[in-house]
Amino acid sequence: MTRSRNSAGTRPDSGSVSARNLSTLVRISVLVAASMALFLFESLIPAPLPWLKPGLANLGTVVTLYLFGARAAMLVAFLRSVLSALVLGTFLNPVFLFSLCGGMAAAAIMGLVKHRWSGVFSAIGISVLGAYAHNLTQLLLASLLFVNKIQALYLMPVMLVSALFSGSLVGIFAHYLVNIAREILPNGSMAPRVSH
Amino acid sequence: MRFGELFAVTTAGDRILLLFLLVVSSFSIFWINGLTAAGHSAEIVGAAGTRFDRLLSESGEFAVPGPLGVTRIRIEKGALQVVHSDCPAKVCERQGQISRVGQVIVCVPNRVVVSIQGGQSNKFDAITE
Repeated sequence: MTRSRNSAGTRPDSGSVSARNLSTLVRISVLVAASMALFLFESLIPAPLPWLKPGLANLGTVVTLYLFGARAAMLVAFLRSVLSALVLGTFLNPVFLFSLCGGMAAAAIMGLVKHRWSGVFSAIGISVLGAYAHNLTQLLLASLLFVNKIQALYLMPVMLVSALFSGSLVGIFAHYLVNIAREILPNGSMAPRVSH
Repeated sequence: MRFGELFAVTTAGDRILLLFLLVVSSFSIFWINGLTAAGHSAEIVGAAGTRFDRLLSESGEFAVPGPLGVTRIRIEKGALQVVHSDCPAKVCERQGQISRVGQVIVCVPNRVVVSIQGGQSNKFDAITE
């Protein structure tokens, strides 16, 4: 679509504008693919409890948030959940609902906090907030969907304490990844100059 | 990567947030414990729908038969645990002790379900007037 509009463009500089859009599109696609890879890798690790996962997929969301902003982070979280569910065969079942709502809530909270209190938290704090948003959303869903609310509550302390550690770990990874990406990419997150 | 370098990365906001969440998360363990009542009795459902209750106040050990063998259940000091099961994975044994209302141990291979019931455990499915 971008290409056809590009070739049909009337303004002479429209080519470089869409090259920039295209470059952003490609980078966000790579981040979706990377999040998916982490998510699928994580689903292969045997866990002591079905819901106790390190939440590595959130790494893709945090990196996207820092490089491309909140809207792109929401998009990456959404696409990662849908596409991973299609690969795993869990599309539209309760597992998918948990993954989608958790991922989207995490992206929304992280985007909001980073926008409102810019500079108060580093990637580590943002990532921990995302991990908590993810887990609390899933607990809320569990208590809404399941009949026995008490049993969902038993998971809460375990989930919250593990979210603290996994969130910090993901935040540390994200901090270094964002730094590396900003060194490699000219103008931070912006598309590189395109020479034809 | 040294720890000092990592510490320098975190902002004051980060440190306050992490400390706050650590305290809240740790205290949620006690909060959950207070929220849920100690169990009164255990309901054991075996294979073929056999069903019976045991009081948690009465210590003892008993066996529930299933398709793979027996599941031995011990009640001690108000808590219940599966001490032996003939199933291959032994997931039920590793669940440890349960004592709070709503907690369950399920042995899928041997078809045994144990759940802790509250003090006013209703023996009826529904009551109408």
